[in-house]
Amino acid sequence: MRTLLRLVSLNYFLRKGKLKTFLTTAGVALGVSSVISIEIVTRSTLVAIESMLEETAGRGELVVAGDSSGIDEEWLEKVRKVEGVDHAVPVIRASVPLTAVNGKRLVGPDGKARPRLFHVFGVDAVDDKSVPDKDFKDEDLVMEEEDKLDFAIKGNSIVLTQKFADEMGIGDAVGKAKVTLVTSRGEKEYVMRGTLKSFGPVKVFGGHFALISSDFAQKDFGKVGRFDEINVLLPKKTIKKVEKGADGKEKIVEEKIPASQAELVKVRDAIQAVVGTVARVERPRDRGKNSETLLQTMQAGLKLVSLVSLFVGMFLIYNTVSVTVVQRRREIGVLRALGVTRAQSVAMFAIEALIMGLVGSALGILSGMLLAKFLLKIAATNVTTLILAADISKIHVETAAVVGSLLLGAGAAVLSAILPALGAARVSPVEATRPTTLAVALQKRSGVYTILGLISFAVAGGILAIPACRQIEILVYGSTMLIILGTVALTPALTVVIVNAIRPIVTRLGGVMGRLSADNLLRSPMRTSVTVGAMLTGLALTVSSSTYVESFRVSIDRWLEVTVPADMTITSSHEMISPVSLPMIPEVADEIMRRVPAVKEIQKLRMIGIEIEGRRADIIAFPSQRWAARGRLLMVEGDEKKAAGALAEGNHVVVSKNLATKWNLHAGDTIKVPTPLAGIQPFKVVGVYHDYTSVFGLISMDEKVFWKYWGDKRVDSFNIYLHAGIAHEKAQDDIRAVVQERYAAFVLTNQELKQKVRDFVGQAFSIASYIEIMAMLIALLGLLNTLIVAVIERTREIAVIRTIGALARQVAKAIMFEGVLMGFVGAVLGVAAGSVLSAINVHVIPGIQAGFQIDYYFATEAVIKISIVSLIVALIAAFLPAYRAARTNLLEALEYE
Amino acid sequence: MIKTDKLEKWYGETKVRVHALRGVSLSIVKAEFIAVMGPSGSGKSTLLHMVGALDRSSAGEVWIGGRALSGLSDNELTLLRRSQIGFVFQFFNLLPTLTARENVLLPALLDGVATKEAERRADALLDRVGLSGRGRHRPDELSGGEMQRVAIARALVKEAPLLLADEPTGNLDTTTGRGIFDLLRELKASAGLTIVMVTHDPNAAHHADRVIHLRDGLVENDVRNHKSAGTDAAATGSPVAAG
Repeated sequence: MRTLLRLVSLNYFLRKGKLKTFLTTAGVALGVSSVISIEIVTRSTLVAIESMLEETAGRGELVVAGDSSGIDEEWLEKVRKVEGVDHAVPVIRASVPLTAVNGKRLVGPDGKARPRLFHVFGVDAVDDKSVPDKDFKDEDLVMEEEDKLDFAIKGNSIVLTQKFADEMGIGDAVGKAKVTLVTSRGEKEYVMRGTLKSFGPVKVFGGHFALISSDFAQKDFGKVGRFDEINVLLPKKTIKKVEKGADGKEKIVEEKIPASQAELVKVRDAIQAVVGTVARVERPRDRGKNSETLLQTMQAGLKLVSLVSLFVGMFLIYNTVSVTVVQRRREIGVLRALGVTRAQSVAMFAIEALIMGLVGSALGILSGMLLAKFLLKIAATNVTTLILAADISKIHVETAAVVGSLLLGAGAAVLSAILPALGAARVSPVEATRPTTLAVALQKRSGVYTILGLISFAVAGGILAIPACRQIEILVYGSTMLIILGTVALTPALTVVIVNAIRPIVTRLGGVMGRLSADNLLRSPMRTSVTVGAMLTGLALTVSSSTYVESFRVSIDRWLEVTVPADMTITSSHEMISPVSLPMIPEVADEIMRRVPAVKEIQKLRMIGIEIEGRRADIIAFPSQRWAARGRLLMVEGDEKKAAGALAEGNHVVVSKNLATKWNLHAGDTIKVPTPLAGIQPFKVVGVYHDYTSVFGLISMDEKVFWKYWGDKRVDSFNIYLHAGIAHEKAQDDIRAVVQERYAAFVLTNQELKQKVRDFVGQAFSIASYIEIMAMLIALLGLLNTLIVAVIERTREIAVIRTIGALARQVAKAIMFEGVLMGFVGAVLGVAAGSVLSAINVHVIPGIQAGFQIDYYFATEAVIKISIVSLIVALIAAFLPAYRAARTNLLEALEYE
Repeated sequence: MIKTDKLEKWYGETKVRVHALRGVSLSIVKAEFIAVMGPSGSGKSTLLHMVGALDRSSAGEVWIGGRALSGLSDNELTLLRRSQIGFVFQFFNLLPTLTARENVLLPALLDGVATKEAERRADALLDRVGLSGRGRHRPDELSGGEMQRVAIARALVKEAPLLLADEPTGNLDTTTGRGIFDLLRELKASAGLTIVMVTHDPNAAHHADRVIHLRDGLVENDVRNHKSAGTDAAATGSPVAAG
């Protein structure tokens, strides 16, 4: 065996097959790199999000949390008195925009204002345990003694991260540098009193993290008398044990160990008994779980891309390796004739493939890491500016992913080599020496693939036809993959149909070489399908993703048209109403009514996040009677007028369709909602309506009911109606003048608000555009790889055509034509498969995730764009192979056999 | 029809130069059937490549139909091949994805012949080489002899006056090989083709008008075959030794 490898394989690698070895190895590298880069991007994003959740979960062993309106501060002392509690610290936090440094507005590269979303924590200046991170050590905080005093007593003090301070060039200006934050009371300037070194939260928020004194945090963030939550620390037990010292002598050392699981449960139950329904007592880790659903759409998209890239990666490897082996089939015949056994000849090819597979995988892993770094950079700027504060630009590579990719690359290469080698070893040595090509070798199997394709479609259709199966995520993704696989399997048959249909046009455009290209595809639909398969997979993904985004956009647009009738809206800290925006005081409304005569009516909205039996939802409180007179609710169940009437009458709510879907609620059902003032209250659902405000789902109740149970009259958004015939611009200026005396609030006209929502949707789905770029990249690489391989495989054919009189440029033209034709077939099939996928995406996946029901709107414009781009991509990918084909050395190619 | 003058071909650098042809001068007239024979490495195939405009000479000159090849560009050489020369290879070199009929009509289409006319010619040629019923078959569905007949039909479809064959029977059994020789002879007689055939097959001598023996890149022997139908061929090779 060793002789075989040394004589045959090594010679092949170093001499005759140098280029092919390089291309095969590059093919493996490409496949592995696409798999691992996507894996790294997905993993890094998830790790960033997870660590963000973990870092903000606090440092306590337990956390006492109410709904998003917080918990009254009187509970802190009560919790501290519970037996078993060592320390209880209040947490006050807010995510607010930082708009200026030293009075200078922060702008983006386009010159427009670009505030940074900051995570600000209120901490007790004299209690280092109040810093919300378990890894925090005293030396992480760089602060002079006098500054510490200022920090505690002066309300305009802030501690920034060294990273951010350095970025802004104020790293050494402690005590002087000023930053402006949008607080609940308006914009406020703070003086930097110290800096934080790199520890947990600093890292996960990418430096966008700050501390202010907790007393002032309460005031600045509209949380006077309230905390967001209370962190509880349990006493550490000191145990003594005997240890051998460095001098070899035994000595007794003390060690602190954390509270046991049983103690933890005991203390948790004790605190829960004290706080009752006001708050839940949990382990910090369990808290983040719900927020993760926010990012599920993103994760789902990335998951799908990973799967597809895995599939395309294997595809690329199979294509390159199997072609090389098919070409060297004669060698197997020769070796067998010389007395090499079947097993030995197959083993030789397997070992060759293993070596190329390992080298290719290693290169693929390296290039994949670089690619991932680049992609993450794009993702980070697109996704995290204002939506996510997590810093996702940091690359996170898991050993398992590296080892997995190595095994995948090498395994796929070996398998791709063994199959054709076995085929060659099975026939007689003489038969094996007859020239053959992959096209011929594959030809016989196309019928089987058509049947496989039809079966895949049938199974996917079956799964999606059963409502119960549509609720199971893995089955839905499985059927998505089946549809892609089915389309790829049907590609040979469909290629014949499509190419036949366009053959006359191609002949007219390309003459004999055009016809030859079309005929070539027709004669070898199996070979074509290898290329087209890689391309259509990428395209299908792009089409489905853009249609999904389009459907979301149009559905939300239509909802906005009927549900947001106010002439003007005021919000603070966030442009749209949300449970994390800083609430304003209700008196603002009176002030506006008094001073701006153009205003006819103001409605107040309050939105908070709550948890009901471990499930997250948002509550919105609004004046139901007056709302009904102005706007509409897009009812799914129940009568709109009756529902509006019922809301004012007591424990009645209407719920959004996504909540109803997720919680299986219908009009007439009752939900039990924990309230801070009256414990758990039953609410009757009097209607279900379309609403896209919250991904968790919305429970809407009348404001009076909310005040009664929550005692919270603060306002997240004022909806303003003007008198008829009033100029909006003037009124907007007048209102802004009143509001901005107190708040750095947003005063938006109806049109502006709608635009903001559209922008927000666009931004939320910006990850989709980067998935699209990835998909197109996969398509480009797939096409390039397969066309190069096709040219190498047909070197002899090309030489023959040249010999019998084809000009170099005619050959190049034929290859270009072939590339574009494959691009066209890929585009047609990709758009078709993508349309089916997007239907699943739109009708099934939002239902599983956020429970939203959206209508299907085909992204015609985007799809046309994608199709044109894919043809251009095909043309670019075909250029190199065409150039190579035109330069084929006739004699070498003819003498190869 | 073909003339070569002190044709030389070498490979590699000065120090390790390998000579394939060392100065071959030949003259081949229209409608002559030449067999080029000689041991392996004697330069047979190289000579064929030079004459077929597939490769350029290192020194000396080749004329085809009075046109010197050394000054022609790659495109001009291609156009010359297209209009003047048909090729037949040992391993047939048919395009595996095309049917027999499509393989035959391809060169005509490349030459700009209308599809209908090309198809008519292809069908007539397949009929002539005895494959009228096999036009729709792919190469892998044909026997070796059938593939070579398709290759010959392909070489003829452009109605080029010169046919070059590189070991056309090298991959066939004796009976099939004989059939191919007969076919070439018949084509030569009926269409007035000039045929240059490189071969190891001793039977070739019986079919060709003239047999040129090469050894070490030189013409060792240039003999008119008296058994074959006579032509006006003149042997001007040098050095000419009596066979």
